[in-house]
Amino acid sequence: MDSLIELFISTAFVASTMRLAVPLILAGTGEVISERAGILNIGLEGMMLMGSFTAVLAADATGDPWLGALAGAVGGMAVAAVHGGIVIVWSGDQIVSGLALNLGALGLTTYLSRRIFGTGQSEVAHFEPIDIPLLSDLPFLGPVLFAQSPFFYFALAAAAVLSFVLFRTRFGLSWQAAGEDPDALDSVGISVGRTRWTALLVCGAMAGFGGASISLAQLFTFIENMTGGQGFIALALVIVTRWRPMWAVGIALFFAAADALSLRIQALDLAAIPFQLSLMLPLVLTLVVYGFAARAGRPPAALGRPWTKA
Amino acid sequence: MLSISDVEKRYDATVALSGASLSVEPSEIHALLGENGAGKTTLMNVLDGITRPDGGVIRWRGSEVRIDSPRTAAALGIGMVHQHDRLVAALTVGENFALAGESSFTIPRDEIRDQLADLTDRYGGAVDPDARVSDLSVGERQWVSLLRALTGDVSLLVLDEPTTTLTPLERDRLFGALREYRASGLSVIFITHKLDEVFALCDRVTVMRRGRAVATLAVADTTRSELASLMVGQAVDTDFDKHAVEAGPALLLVEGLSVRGARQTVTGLDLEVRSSEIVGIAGVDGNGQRELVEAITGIRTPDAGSVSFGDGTAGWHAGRSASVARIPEDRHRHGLALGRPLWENLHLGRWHHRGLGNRGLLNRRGARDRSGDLLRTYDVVCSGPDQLAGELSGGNQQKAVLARELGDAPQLVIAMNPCRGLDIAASRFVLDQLLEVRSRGGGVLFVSYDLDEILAISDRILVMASGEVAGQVVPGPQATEEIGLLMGGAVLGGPR
Repeated sequence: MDSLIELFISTAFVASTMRLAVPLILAGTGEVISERAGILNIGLEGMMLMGSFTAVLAADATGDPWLGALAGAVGGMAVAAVHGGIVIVWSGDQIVSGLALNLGALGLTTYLSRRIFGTGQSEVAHFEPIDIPLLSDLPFLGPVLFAQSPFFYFALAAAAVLSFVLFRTRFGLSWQAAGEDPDALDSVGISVGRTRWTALLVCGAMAGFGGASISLAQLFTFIENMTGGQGFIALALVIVTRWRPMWAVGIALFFAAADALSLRIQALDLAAIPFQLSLMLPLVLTLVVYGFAARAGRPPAALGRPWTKA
Repeated sequence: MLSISDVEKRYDATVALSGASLSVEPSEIHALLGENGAGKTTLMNVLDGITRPDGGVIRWRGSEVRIDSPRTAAALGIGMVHQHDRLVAALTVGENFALAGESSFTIPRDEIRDQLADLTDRYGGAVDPDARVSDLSVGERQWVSLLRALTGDVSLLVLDEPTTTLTPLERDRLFGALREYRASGLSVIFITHKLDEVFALCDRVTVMRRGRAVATLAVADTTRSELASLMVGQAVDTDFDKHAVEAGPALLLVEGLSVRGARQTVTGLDLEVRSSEIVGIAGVDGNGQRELVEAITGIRTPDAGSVSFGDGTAGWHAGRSASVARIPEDRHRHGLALGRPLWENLHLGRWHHRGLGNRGLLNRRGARDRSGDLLRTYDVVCSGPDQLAGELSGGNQQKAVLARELGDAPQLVIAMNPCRGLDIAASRFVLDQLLEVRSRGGGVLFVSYDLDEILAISDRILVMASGEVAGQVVPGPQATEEIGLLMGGAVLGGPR
């Protein structure tokens, strides 16, 4: 028991929780924006995976991880653009489109990575943790908060910026209106389609960054299906945040802690707990939290509904 | 200042506007009168840039303009108040103002607060910019929509049937504000289908019928019957054939009914409907009428009290077999299965009758034959029993609901807003059918938000306010005023 408590307050555990939370924060805040504007994005996982792949592709080709990160965002946006074409332009079903994109992205990245990189693959240009001078030398807080990858700082900043835009700017109000009452938005002369497009592309970029943060700051290479369900965890997380970007940070940390714990249990190699069980932990936790939280919030009234001008 | 000429708009096969014209002078309140479906709203949506016309010319202050977005209309100085308000319920009043306002990146909260204060100083009503729209009453939302439309440099205000959901007091305040507005040299287009409002408020009136403007008259030079016949294209009889009948034994007895609803809680309500009697329930939308009807018809479970029917059976499901009919408020959600053919719709919940399905198998041929008869009797315009319910016009859908519900000659009818969205002729048909139930000894509980309808056919009227019966009124010369007081007084004292 004592060792468990020690684990939870150990620097290594907390630091790895922070690191694992990064992709969830990025994709989760993106999904909050998209859903606020009325677009359900089941394809979040696919957008992340595409981002992981295009990031590695660009980092490998240019040797510059920053260009890699940018390419990750572009990859996520490309998948988002397909979703937008289906659900905004053609008023298609958002769930069907999202599911198809997840499968499509998995197939496409698997095929292309085998084609381009072959099977054995080495590290590409990637991000090392940035040690912030002085602050990173603090005991405990230093390694936990001030020696993380650039994605970590970017994720926190992005959540704050998107929260400000959503609640404090006219642009954010039109996102909210597009998800609550698109007819009302249309009647004041703002294009519902354009508004939803911007939200969806923001989401695609954020998911792409999220995917890139896995490939360029955690594993330094691309592996088939490397997002491994994190897009779905981010999707569930959005409901728990009750559609508030800043909440995504806190909730993502909670899920990441579960993930870190599962890794720890595997590392301890306890005979009593098969590693498959501990792998399930974060996903089971997602289900449980989801079950409790699902009734607490009210989703945007027009979420998932196509809108066409009369 | 505004002239619209020969505007046309076609949706696939249906013609919404064919040669609609209208001209508005400075300092006038111009009524746009017509039945539902006459094209009034479509014409105004063209003026507001929401709907793109197929043809026609709009001139504003003498020069031709193309209005392709509500922003363009607002820039010209045209403000619009839609029939169903276009406020985002999840946002605050101030945020709704910001959404429609000039482009600035952040939300100009202080500026909006000042704007709102100016508007309420001028036109009355207290509005809190930080109140969430979903917490406002229907009347307050309407007022907020009006103030929002008046923001900025607006010289022509368009109101689409603004009084539908207002109490008489709120209506008077609105009319006062519009007169004030006219006095400052500005103009109003006032869309309505109520003749009273034309005479109470307006200077000139343009009558529309079937997408066309048929006449423009000075209100002082016309009469009710002239306007009514222009509206429907023929002389209409506005009197109902309602001969005195002695009311008989009770068919519906509601005692001490308490039921919680989403918007209003009904507490300790008693009422009785006897045979050969139409009992009207008047009141502003949201004062417990829906909860009452849902409790009677078994949709909502009461917390206390009882509902029993003429033969002593209690509860709706027992009542069904005792020949009780229900005409629901929303024919799309609760009246018809829009994607199914008429013959199925005409027998929903009625397969146990007439040997149509009582052996566990549906007698499709029998149902189809019976449907053909019903459709003829109730004059439903359709291609036959196999047509989908969703393909009919609103009036014909409502007739199909009536055919199902009244086709068995029920003893008791529970009708809620049965004329909603129907034109004069179709409304007339529905009300005549309810009177028919009464004259053959049936009872009707008639809930409506339209006072004229209730006054026209009810034997006595209960006024609901804040979930209780505020009082009973018998139709007569004083009835409108009495009902207005009961509706308004109770609403003012109620929760806001």
